[in-house]
Amino acid sequence: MRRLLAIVAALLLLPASAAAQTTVEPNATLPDISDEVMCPICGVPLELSNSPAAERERAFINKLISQGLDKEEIKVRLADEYGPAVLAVPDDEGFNLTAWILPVVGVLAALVLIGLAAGRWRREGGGADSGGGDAPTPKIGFEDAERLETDIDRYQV
Amino acid sequence: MSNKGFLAILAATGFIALLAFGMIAKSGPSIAVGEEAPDRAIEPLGGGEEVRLADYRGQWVFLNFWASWCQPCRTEAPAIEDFTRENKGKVKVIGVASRDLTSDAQRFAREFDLTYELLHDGDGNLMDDYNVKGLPESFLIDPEGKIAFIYRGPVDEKILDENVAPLLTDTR
Repeated sequence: MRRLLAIVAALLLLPASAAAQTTVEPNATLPDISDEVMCPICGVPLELSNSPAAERERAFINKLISQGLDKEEIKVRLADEYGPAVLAVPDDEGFNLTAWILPVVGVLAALVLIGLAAGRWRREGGGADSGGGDAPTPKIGFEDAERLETDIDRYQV
Repeated sequence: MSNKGFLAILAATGFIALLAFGMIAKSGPSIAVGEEAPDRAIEPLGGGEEVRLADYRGQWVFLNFWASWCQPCRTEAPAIEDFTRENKGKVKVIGVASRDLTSDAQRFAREFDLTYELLHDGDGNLMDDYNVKGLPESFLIDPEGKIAFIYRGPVDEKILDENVAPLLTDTR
């Protein structure tokens, strides 16, 4: 009797275990991919778009995730479907190479400019302590001082 | 003029030139009736040997850009299919599934029982060549490869019968 029960239990559990075996472990997540690929029609990253085309792209990615593909494999499949422009990174050849070079050039140029400005500021004594905490009083001539007095009197300031 | 002033003007000019370049690059090519129809090698939907629109020189070509996710494309698909059947031998109808998934586009074609030739422009390069801004858009190309008619939006039976069909009798 006990053996019969064990066989029945094993038969009942068999479909569940088979189903568990066919379930593919995901190797990627939608949020992880959707910030690295573009919506095919809207020109913004997929994560920012709710257009119908973006929804279809998301469904496609989810399908590939459920098949167990990893992020790089999914990107390759997306590029097959939508072309390389779907990847949110520019090509590293031709004119698109400037997209990689310009930021580096920009940072270097900024560093050089800051260095030059700092050197000039130091040469002009910009960092030297003037000795007093008060702002220097501007000097005015006798005529200007007299006119100032007249104006103050006139307006009764 | 001081060096600083010159550099400031140079920087401003460069910035404006960059903006202008960006705007020109974004605006895409101008497409108008009478102009040469852009040509590009493109894959049939579902794969296969690439075809070029220039391969169809000598016959009228009705080029329709669509996508399965585009609702107005669903509205116009039956009219284009009817037009294809009614004008068999007079015009080559080509549907270009643009920026669409192959499987979705194939499902769309099955759903509407489309019999005309279908190409897949997944990256949208052909669409950009024709300066297509929104789907669907249609172009009639004459036997010499020149654009004879442009319609931006979903076509219907009336538009096809009144604007496209009469041109097909013109053998140029």
